[in-house]
Amino acid sequence: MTDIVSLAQYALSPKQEAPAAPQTKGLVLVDLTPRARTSHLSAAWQVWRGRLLRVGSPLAILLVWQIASGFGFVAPEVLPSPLDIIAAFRELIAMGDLQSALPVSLYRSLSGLAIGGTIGLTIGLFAGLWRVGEEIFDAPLQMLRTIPFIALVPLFITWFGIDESAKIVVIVAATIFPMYLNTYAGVRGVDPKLTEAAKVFGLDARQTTLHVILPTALPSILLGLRYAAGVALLALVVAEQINARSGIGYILNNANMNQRSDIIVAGIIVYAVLGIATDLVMRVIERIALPWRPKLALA
Amino acid sequence: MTLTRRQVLASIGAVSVGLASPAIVRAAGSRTKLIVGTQDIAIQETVIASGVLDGLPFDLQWAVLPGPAAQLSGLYSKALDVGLMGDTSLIIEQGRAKLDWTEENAPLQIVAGWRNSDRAYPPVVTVVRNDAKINGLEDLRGRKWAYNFGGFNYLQYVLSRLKAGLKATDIQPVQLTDQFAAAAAFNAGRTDVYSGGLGAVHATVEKGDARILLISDELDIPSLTVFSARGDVIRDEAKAVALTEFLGRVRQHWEWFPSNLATVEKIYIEKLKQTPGDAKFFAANAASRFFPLNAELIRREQRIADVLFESGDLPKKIKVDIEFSQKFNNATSPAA
Repeated sequence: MTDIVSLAQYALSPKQEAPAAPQTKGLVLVDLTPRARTSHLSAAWQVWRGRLLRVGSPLAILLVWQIASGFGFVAPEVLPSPLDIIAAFRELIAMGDLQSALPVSLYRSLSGLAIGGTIGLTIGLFAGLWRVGEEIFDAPLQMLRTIPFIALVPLFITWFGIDESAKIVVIVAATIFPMYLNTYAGVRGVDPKLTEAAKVFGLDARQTTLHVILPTALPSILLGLRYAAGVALLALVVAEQINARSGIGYILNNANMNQRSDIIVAGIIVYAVLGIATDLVMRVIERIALPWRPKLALA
Repeated sequence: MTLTRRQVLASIGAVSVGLASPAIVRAAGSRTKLIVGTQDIAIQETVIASGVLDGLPFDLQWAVLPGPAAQLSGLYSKALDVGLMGDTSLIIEQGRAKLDWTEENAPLQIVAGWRNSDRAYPPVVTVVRNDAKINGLEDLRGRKWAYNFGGFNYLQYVLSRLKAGLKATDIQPVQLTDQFAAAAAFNAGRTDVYSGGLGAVHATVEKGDARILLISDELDIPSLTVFSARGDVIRDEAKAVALTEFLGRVRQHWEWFPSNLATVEKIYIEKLKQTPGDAKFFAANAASRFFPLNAELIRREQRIADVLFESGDLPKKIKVDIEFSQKFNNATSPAA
């Protein structure tokens, strides 16, 4: 009983005053009566309402969009109709453009992410763990990260040429910064009490890094990886301006030059799907890498 | 055993020769390679489709780099031997160069230029929206005017404005990143006037929402699309031979072009993803011929450089004749 009361007290927010115990000092009353049970039908409705809303609201938007386009309220050059976009998808698939673009673009973005992510992680750890690392890398990287890499295409051509490596270097350059910033912030954000405790338990610097700092910084590092994965996809549009003959970015650039807004929107949808797929993969990685992290949701 | 310095040097020399000899043999037996930049795949696809590249005596590599800035970067970094751009790009390049260009040190030179000679397909235009109620040049004052900087699109804007007797402060200039952005703003009704390529706004014109106010010929803008080569490529004997051969074959491709518009349209639909309507327009529009790089052309280009200097867009007065290499005129315009 004492345990339950203690927990109840702990659960109160600091601003909440514990009700004055009328009889027993330090004890409070906790309402533990079971909630009213909802009917089976009502519970099922709750589940299905959620599912219907998830599917129904985008479908309703598409329907309104198609009707607006069909009646000429929206000009096709301003916003192509959903049916036009489906036709654009059909065209891209029939010509084999989409099938050939996806593996090429994924290879480029994953290669760039692997190299850029590793560099960002290494520098982030170095700058986070050692002051000399921060002194060497932080200021230059903070300056470089604000440079819009789309403006660097002519310079990248001058420095790295027009081969495949130049495209990957663009993606590397784009992915270093989110990885660096989040790793650095994660390592620097470790609660000093934890490192103090590690010291008390007799852990040396290496053990403290491996068993305290890195696990504590891991959520932030994975967040950096998540950002970097998204940026790697976005950077394709820039990278595939450099002597590309295939790829999602190439399809978008080509559609832009030839004013095919239906293909541009189709390309955006491909990007959205890739973004969702990337996010799902990252969630799985986070779930595996961070098994201790609570899965909280308000409702 | 001790080695003398002479023995060490001899060994290093022998190893170096051993390592270098396969490269020397390879270089002696290798074919010349020409890397040609384009801003989209249109020209390379039609050149290939025309069959003129069959039996090419050198290796040809195409490289797609959209925009003149990327083409110039490719040339300066020697990633490209030849780049594709508008004929005013080198005027701006020379006018803004820190070192004065001379016959000896000119880093780039135009080696060939082409355009459609039919007035029905002007390369560059100034177009006005019909709902803006612009009846003539006198109505351009105070209007929103979309254009992009650099090249003959910008020149069309400057010369149209000057012809109307207006300064930049007399209108609402809307400078956008490229021709496509400027055209998108105009097509969506965000600006009243547009200067640039006709292709990007032809649908709006054909729908009756806009009309052409001025074409580049009325402003005496040559508006040629050109191949520019690096100075060292032009001076390199083997590369120059390959370039002559290449340009000769591209000329044959221009002869093939008008009688094969259906093939060109198919390429534009399948490879460039143009709509059939656009493909028809762009195929007819792209039917071009080479123009000789002669004194008359240089005179017209010199006038453009002078106008850009007077408008403050060029920081110094330049002589444009050093931007033109007439070495390849026989390949591009044998009759001239």
